[in-house]
Amino acid sequence: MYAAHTNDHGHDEHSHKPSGIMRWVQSTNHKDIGTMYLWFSFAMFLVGGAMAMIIRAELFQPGLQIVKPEFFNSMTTYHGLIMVFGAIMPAFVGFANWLIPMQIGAPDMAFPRMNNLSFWLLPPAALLLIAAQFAPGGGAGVGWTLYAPLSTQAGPAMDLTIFAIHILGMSSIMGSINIITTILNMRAPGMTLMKMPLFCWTWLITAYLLVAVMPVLAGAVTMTLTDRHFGTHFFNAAGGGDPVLYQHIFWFFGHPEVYVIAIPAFGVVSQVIPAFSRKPLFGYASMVYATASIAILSFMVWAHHMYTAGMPVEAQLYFMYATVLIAVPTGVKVFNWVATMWKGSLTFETPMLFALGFLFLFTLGGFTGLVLSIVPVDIQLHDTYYVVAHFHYVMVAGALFSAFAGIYFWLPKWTGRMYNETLGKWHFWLSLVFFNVTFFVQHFLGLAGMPRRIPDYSLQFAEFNMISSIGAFGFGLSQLLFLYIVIKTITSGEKAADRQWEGADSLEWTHLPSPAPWHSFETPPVVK
Amino acid sequence: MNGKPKASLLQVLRMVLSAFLGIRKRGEHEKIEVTPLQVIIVGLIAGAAFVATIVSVVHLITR
Repeated sequence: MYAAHTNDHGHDEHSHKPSGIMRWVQSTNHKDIGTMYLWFSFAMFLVGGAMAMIIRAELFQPGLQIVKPEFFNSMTTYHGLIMVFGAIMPAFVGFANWLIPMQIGAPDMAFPRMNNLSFWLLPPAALLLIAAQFAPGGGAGVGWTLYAPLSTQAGPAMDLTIFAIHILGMSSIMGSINIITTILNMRAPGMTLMKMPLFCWTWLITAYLLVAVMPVLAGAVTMTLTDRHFGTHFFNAAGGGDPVLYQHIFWFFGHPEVYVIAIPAFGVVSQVIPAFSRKPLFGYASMVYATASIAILSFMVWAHHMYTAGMPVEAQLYFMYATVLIAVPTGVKVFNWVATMWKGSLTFETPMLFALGFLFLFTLGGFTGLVLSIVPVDIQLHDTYYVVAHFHYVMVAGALFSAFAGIYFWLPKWTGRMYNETLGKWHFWLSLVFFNVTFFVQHFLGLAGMPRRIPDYSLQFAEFNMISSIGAFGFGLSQLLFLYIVIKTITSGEKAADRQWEGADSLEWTHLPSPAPWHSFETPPVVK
Repeated sequence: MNGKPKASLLQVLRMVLSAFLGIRKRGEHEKIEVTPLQVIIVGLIAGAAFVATIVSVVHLITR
């Protein structure tokens, strides 16, 4: 498929790589910026994870033992915000920065300086979210959805949170513009759109989604801000506004946001599964089309998050039918991944294990999503732990497992060193077991009627909560093993081969050495 | 692009509808020339038709 190996990187040892802290502060290099994104997201993953540990510690037993209810509410809020906007999204932008230029044969991103700004907007936003904990009255206990009227009445922490979301939105929009322009304009000769690795396709589609929905979120939080300080009444019924309007605007952003997180995860898995099945991806074209249609349809189902908020039965039926139908293209993707493995010569290295964990558990999360899409069922389950279990199957076993699969898969290319396979497998199995111990029992809690976002609960929920908390502590500790594995790989891993995985066939594996040089594809490769 | 025949409206529609289902024959997209503009316009119309269909089904059963 590709032209002969063109390794023109003999001059790397005297490439002018800046040194010291300024290399990172002023970086316009897609690989350095990708690295910063990934480390930033891991740091945020630990912060958000620590918040989750506080939540699970308080819920270990009924009664109030460790934290005050207000602080508990703040933890659920910022755990959600930090994990979604600080950990998962930047992790996949990190993948995009590292991989898209290499996979399409471009020397860098289209707008390197904007790329720098996209990244460096993130740390101030993260600081604002953390600083909100120390604002008078503590963090805003409004939930990650920031519903009015809670958010219009919350203390000054809410203003810091709103500003953080504005900044994160700007960062995402600039990152998306960069990705779209890079993919559409900087592909190597012969690299047609339909020859791109699926990861690039998923990011192209995700970037369009982000450009479409981040301004909606910015609008929602700006209206909250003006309601709070400038005398408007968008969400205030007493002034002629409507708090349900906030929910509609938020979820018009919020549902596509689910796909903003899930679609790059699909992309990573679509690179990993074929590589370890030693077969091309089954139905590449249908995967592209299915991803595009999932993106379009994701704009038409938002109100299934708010069946209980009050809407006419016609609207409930519409959103129920539309939601059930959108599951079809997603189901097709699952079939495609299974068909890719069918009769392949499979091996089960750590990236493949995480990809398979994704495949099983994301599908389970998808099914519970279908359960929740049925209006009469959702009326029972809304705001219970069933919902918490559902979206953690999608976010953790879906997005996070896929990110782990990607990190183990590309770590040899990024660092030039191989991770320890035994430890990697330990990380996978510990994560898999503890994840299910934590979240599977939450389905039962939800079915039994335990509401979410509460620091105390009735005695009948005690056993499952204790099991869930033990699982959560185990899951949290297992991630420290991951940190150890990555640091050990960077410092003392065995030398990785240029094409570490023989089944991997995208340009970064076939055309570039490991570690990938600081500058790659200054002369574009010719793709046939 | 090259000398591929241009896609007719029906072909683009077939393509978009199969995309909604997520199913697509390998190589079909290589036989005909389809511009992104065609796909976007037909995709938006098909999306609107999708919504309209569900709305009318809902209307029928809640009458």
